[in-house]
Amino acid sequence: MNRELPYSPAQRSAGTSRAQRSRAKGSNLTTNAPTVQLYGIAKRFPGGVVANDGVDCEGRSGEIHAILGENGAGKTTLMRILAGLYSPDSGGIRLDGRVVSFRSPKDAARAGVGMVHQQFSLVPALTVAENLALGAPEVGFVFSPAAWSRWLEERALGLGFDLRLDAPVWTLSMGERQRVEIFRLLLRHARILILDEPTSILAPQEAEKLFAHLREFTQAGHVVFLVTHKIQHALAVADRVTVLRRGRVVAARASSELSRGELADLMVGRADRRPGSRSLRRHEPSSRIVLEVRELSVPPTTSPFGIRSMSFQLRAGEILGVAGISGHGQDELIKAVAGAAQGWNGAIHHLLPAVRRAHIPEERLDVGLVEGLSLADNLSLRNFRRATFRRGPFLDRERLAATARERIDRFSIAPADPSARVETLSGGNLQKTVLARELDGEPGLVIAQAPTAGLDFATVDFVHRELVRQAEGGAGVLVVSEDLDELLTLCHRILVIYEGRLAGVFEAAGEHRTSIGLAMSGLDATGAFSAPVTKAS
Amino acid sequence: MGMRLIAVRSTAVALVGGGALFLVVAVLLRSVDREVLPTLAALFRNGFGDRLGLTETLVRMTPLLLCAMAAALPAKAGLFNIGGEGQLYAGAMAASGVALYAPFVPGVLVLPAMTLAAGLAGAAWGAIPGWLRGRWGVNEVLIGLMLNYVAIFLVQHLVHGPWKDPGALGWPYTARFAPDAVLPTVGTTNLHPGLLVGVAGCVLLWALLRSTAWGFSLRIIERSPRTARYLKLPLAGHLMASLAAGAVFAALAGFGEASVVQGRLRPGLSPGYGYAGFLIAWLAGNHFLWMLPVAFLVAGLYSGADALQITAGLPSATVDVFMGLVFITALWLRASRVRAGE
Repeated sequence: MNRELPYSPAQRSAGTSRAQRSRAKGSNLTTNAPTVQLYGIAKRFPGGVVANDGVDCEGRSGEIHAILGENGAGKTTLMRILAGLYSPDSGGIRLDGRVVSFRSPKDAARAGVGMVHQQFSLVPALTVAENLALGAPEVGFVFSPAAWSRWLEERALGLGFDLRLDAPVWTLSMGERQRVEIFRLLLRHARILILDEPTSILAPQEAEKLFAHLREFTQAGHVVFLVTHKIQHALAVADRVTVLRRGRVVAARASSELSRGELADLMVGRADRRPGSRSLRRHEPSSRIVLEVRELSVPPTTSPFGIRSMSFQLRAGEILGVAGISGHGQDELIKAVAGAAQGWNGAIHHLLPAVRRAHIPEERLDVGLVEGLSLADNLSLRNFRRATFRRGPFLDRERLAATARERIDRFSIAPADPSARVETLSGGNLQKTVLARELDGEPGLVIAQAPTAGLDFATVDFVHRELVRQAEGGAGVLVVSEDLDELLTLCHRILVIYEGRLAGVFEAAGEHRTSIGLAMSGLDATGAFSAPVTKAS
Repeated sequence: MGMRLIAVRSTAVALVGGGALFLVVAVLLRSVDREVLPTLAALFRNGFGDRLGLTETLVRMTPLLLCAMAAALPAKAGLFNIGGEGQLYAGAMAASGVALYAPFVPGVLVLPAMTLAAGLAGAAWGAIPGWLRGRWGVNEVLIGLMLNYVAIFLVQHLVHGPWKDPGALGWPYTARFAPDAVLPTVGTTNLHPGLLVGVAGCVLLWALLRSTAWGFSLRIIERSPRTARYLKLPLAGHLMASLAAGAVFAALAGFGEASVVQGRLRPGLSPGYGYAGFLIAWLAGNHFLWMLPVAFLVAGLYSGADALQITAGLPSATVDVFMGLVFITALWLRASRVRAGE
């Protein structure tokens, strides 16, 4: 099949192949009774958050159905209802025309509905076969690993899966792990497959592989629901798209009838505010170095690789991207640069004092912010130990509160209530809270890890503009992201990290996209404009 | 679920819990042939009903409150201090050592020296699990629990061996403390300044935790150690300090019991105050002001049951059974509330 990279800007011209596909299946799409229907679904959460408000959605036999929407639009909630994790306040589910009610994921699984969550459920230390044995009804009290592996192999062959059954899960790439999750659902005879933001952790090539797999699956008349906020993915793979906005359906149409721009408008409800495909950089970095890393090696902690002999420099005013598939050493690199790694070798030269370094961590809750504390407290995490915020032995609450209010205003954080518990904020406002705290006081070095992961357009745009503003103000900005588009939009240069090594350094320009993608997958980036300047032995 | 429904539900759950508690107690009392209501009435009368009972309750409240503080302060940093019992014995041991074997300390300085020794011993006993936890991530519950046995057996060893009172006719305890080594008391009762230390300490700690940078740091550490590390708070230091500081209060409880209530060091100094203190802290949600009434009520249970032992001939373990039942009921109530509020 003629397939383009799903990220490719040439996507629109490739649309013909998809249109043909739709036509070929056209009769199927229109005449077949819907396999699964969600009707009038409403779901309200404590605190008055309305996640779904009368949502109708149907998945027809043989189709890939994208559920598209911004963060907090209610996509995941809707799909969790279908998967039996939540029960709707009103409305219901019809399966092959019959009304069903799922009281648990088990009920849903029995009816053939399976969901792959954003957070995988695999145990990293166990092998693939062992993971698949967990909770499998086929596994009895007496367990023979050899017989189990043989049986799995047979099934994998039958379902067209190529899995390394004896490999420990932690050695698998994210794409491989995802395939294991899908395979597990198919072992349970899932006919309706739900994938929640499946591409957010995949390299472009891996995403394409996933899409191919899904198409095979639907050819047997099954249904795939693809939850995503990426328009290009929805258009690249889905037959039909349901767009949600603030808990309501704003469109449900065949993807061949939709364009990128239309979808963006539908999602945000106004003229396209998608952070431009054009570059945001308008300034040149100075020659002053703010961070220099030489021959850095860090022992592995969260990834199997650690960092091996890496060198680079970050200049004032420069936005330097670190591209790579997650788990290839990014964590260790950032920990070392932020001064939280142990047992590293080499040299890290900070040319700025610690108070002028800002760090936007990957995990907003649990690292960047403290659950259970108020918004004001969370905005004070850097200040409360400073002498200026103390009155005698006590905290100067008024001053802390005033600073918090100021930051809430400047970053328009909602709710603008300093006493609100931080975990009640939406994902975008959580990130704004972290930014408001970290970017205050003109930091000279900004480290940002996955700064826009899972955020909606408007907030992505906001975060990008803030980072650019910092760079324009003379800060060196180090951005770690798996979103290549983001790095291409933001950065002056992009480092590619693969298995803990520097796999290449590229000037950020659209024409390097393919080379960067290849470098991310450990392949040689031949034909790149700037060949890798550092290649560790 | 609406707020009203939740309120109705939790009231119902509380009633059911109270009823179940009463039922179990009734069955237990009937099984040893006691009248249910008169026995319970006697329990409350003896605990809170008259001057004598109230005094005894306050005497009991002193070590209970101090041990509760020993559990609650580390809990503010997310730690479980199950080592209160051992810290109590460590304090008693150190104070006794000064009282009996430091003749060079002038009379007026004996009590300050005992206080200091007890405090240091307690801090050391608490610092061990605190340091292991902060530096190496060793579970503080296990270490604290093991150190309880170490302290208890050390006391056993001392009173059976080197510190044994030669005039005690083979009984395992030390010689009686000199009057200089006995804390001042209210009249002829056993009420000593330890209660004041406990009450004032609770109020002070409540205020400090609320409004200092130290309290703020502990709040961060309790809820998210990863954020604490990200902010480069001295995590290990805070963990160790909070456990050691808490342990000082348990050690002072041991000091008071040895100095006033027993007048000497002996095994069985504490009928499990360290553990009961943990339960009190837990029942009060580790809130330093709420711990005052809770410690008072539990102390009443102790002194009331003590009197029952004499008047109704019930075994001394009765109070443990009561405590256990109250705790299980509270646990269940909380669990059902958490589920309802979800």
